[in-house]
Amino acid sequence: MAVSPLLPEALVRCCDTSQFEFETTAELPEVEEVLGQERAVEAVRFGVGMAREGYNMFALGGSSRDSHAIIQSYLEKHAAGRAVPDDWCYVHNFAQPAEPVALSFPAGRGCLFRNDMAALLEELQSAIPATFESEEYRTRKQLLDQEFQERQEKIFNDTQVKAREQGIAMFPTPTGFSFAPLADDEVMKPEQFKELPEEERGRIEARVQALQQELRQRVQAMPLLQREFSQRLKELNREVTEFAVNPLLEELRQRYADLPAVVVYLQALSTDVITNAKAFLVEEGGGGLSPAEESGFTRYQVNLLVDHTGAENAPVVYEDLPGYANLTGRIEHQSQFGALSTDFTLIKPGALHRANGGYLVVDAGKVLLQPFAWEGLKRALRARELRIEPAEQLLSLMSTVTLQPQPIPLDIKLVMIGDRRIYYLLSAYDPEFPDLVKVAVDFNDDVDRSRATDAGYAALIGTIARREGTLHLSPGGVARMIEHAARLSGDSEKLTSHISRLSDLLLEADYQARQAALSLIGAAEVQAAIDAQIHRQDRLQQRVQEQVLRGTVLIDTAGARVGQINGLSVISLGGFSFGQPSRITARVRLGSRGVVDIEREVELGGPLHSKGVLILANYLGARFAPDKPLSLSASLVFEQSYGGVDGDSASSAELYALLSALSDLPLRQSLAVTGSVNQFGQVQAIGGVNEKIEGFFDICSARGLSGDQGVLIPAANAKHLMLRQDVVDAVAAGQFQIYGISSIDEGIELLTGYSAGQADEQGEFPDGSVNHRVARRINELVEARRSFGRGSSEDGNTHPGE
Amino acid sequence: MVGAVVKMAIPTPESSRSLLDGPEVHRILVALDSSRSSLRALGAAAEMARTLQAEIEGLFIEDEELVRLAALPFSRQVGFTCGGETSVDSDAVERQFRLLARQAQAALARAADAASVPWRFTVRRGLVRETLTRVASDSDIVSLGHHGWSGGLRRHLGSSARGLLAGFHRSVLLLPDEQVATSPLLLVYDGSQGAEQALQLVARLLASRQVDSVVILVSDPTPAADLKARVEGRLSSAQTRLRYVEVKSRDHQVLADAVRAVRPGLCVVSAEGDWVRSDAFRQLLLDTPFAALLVR
Repeated sequence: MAVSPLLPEALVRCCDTSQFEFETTAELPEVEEVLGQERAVEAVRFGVGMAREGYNMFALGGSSRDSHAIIQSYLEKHAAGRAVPDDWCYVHNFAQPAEPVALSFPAGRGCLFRNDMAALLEELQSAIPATFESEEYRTRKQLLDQEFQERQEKIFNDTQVKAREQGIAMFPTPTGFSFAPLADDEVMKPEQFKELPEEERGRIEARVQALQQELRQRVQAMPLLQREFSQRLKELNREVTEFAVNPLLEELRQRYADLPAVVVYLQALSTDVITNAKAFLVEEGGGGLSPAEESGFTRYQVNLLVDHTGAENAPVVYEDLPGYANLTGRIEHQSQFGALSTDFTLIKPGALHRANGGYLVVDAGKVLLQPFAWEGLKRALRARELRIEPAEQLLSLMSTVTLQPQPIPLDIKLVMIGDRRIYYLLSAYDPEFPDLVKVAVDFNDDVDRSRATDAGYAALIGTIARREGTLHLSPGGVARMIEHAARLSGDSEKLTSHISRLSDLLLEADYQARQAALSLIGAAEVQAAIDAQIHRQDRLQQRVQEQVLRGTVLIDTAGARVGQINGLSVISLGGFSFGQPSRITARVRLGSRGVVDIEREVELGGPLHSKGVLILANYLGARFAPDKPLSLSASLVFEQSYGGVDGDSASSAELYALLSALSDLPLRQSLAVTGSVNQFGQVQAIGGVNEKIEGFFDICSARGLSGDQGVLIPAANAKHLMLRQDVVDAVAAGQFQIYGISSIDEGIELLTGYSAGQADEQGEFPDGSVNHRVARRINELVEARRSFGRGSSEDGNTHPGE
Repeated sequence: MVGAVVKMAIPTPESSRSLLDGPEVHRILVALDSSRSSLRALGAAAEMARTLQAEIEGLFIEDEELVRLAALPFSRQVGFTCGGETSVDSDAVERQFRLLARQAQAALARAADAASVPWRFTVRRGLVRETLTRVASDSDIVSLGHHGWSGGLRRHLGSSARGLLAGFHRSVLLLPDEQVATSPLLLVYDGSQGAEQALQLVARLLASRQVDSVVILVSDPTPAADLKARVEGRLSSAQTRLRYVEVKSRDHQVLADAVRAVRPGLCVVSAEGDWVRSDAFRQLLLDTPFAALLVR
């Protein structure tokens, strides 16, 4: 039953360079397809081609950079076959100024319309004043003035003449008119008036009163005259303005006759210009238009919201900051004398506007982090229209006047990119999500490794080299890249599909090669780049090793101890993982609490770890005390562990420690163990096997390899081995061993040097075997407990007097 | 009329002195009654006083006829705007005089200080035309608004202005209600004695102001070339852009149209000819916003 160590060839699956028929990757063809992502690519094709409501996409898995690149690439390809969408403008709504009108134009004509309107405004600013300065207008206005003056004069002159005939003067005062009797063509002096006979004074007074009465009636009639004059002047101005405006607008009406909404707008504009022609008349010497007048012309401008001038494809827009306003657009305000005001020219487009008629790509995580962004996005998708509603308006935070622009129809394909967790959370908790995002684009994290994929990888590396402008690679360099890709996937039979990480490694290898003035990237440069990556991140690993080597953290790599074993764990920090040995100990005594996980007791153990301990406890009971109570209290602990522990990869090590404690047989400290165990004592695969082996190897190597050191790993993990070359070399030299273990019995034999022992038909284990010793000790504990009877407490301690 | 000729004269110390030849202006009288046109007259007078280094005198006339009217037992007035009747009594009129005088003096002080010219303020009671004529005899130029209330018509020349147009022995600066442009300066020149005086005043104005100028040459009977030579001789040192327009007729309407076409900021013209007393000139003042300086 003795287990043989794994051969060096099993510890790493090297890439055979003889399979490559190229000198450098420059000879390899360009790769169009994405390696190993057939499912995702098919989903993208389906999502892009499915022009039905709700068939938006969510790209999950893989690396974010790779997903972006792949999605972007496919969308751009597909966009090339689609029509360029319409341009969109906002213009003033002359009937409802707070509700700007949205006008659509065939691509490129929006810009032309804006320019046409700017030119029109310029022409109106010169044509209207010119018309009003024409001799004809001046003459007609002068005639009107003259008529008004004459009629006005007549009103007063009649009274004045009448007064004069009666010897009364109509006399202007600062605020009105008075009547006074005349003497020698001057206002009569009061003393002269007093000297007049009373009868004469009375007559004069009566005349004056009558004149005042008449004048009052005439003055009160003046507003009617002024209104008539004003009306006739308006009619004249309208006639003159129409003469100036209509030819200019008619040209535009004909140019945009195929766009009925634009024609309607031009008609409304025409009416407004004619009504407000006075705004175009600049006072002579006034130095141009005042700011108020300039702002009055704003309503004739065009806010070109979306311009596809020169575009040949449907848009593919990636919004890096998908906030609510950045997605749905916003209405800006400007401060004027301390008050905030806005108009349709301050409407700004969002990513949805720019991507309308095409594709919008957003990061799901970012959308969810931005307030209201996800709700705004869903509302737009659901309603299939773009309605700009400022967030401050939704929250009633702004009481100033704002706009309600007419909504714009939305025809868009949304692609969200995020990790799987977000996708599943949204699926579970947002009832609208499944209806709005129906296509999952699930990227693989790795691809199967074969000669075919090796060749594909080589071509892919060549493509990246060309795209990034790096040196090309030799077959050896490619092979090392592929081996590293397998290591990144944590499986010798897989290659990572995270192309971005390979791309980074290629760039860094290129740096190494250029530093060495090489013209080609070889295996050495790739390895140097890998080493440099590790070196930049392994400060903590070095600190941990240092603590072990200096005896601060107690790890034995020689000798044998009862109830003590070296477990292995993996620490992942910032994308870098390394293995760390941990001492696990077990103590057993009489009691009934079973196996106590101290990590769990102090709430440092995670649920998976607790699960592993419970499994091994049941294994113990089922195998060694199937028909009697397990009368022991065993404690398990990760020594010198001050942080949380989770995962079940140490459960086999914990079981070995427990068996050692029960059998009183010492365990070899030169070996470290990883692997989980099930209730039947089978050792199961775990993660991070390479890092764990290398972590223990580094400690042993630093102390000096003794030749009997090694690691017990689950046999199922043998296919995951992609170990460092120095580990492989040490194994080849017989200085280090790696054992693939399938069962606890195999492991305990290696660790104790004793046979595990198989139970016979009566369930008895052979004398001297580990299992026999364990069974005997458990029976002893059962008997001991029985002998205590009611006098012993639950924890196994005897309490005198009870 | 003929086209324009543009000439830029380069001033020299010698020629600059020649611009200042001729009669000096020591005092400009401005008649103030707090109306908009009188305030414009004040602004123009202050600017001209600064240019000519003259003193400015403000005159407020307490209208004797209004005092008499207020003393009559049945005095009432009908308002301009709504025709409402209010009583007029002597106390109210006196209070009104004091208020308007204070406002006029304050406005004068502001305008004169802004122009950095000396000023004085005078209040006289009497009949408007006689009082103005009497006080104006101590001044070289009288400035006043040419729109006033006459028979209730805003668009008629004020009675003071009409009197000064009809016959007055001092130069008169008439300002409209409206804002006037600062340029061009227009001289109507026919070679007469009065036109020579106007030319001398223009020369004085141009000695310290750089403003585009237009000269209307009335070539009847003197040929335009001779007139132009005289003007150029007088204004040769002026640092201004000069443009000439020839008018071959002395017809009043033709002259008025020529002035309208130029759209002057300030029009300097001799007060001696028939034209300034014509209806065409009065209508010109009413329908074209410019300052008119009638030189005597």
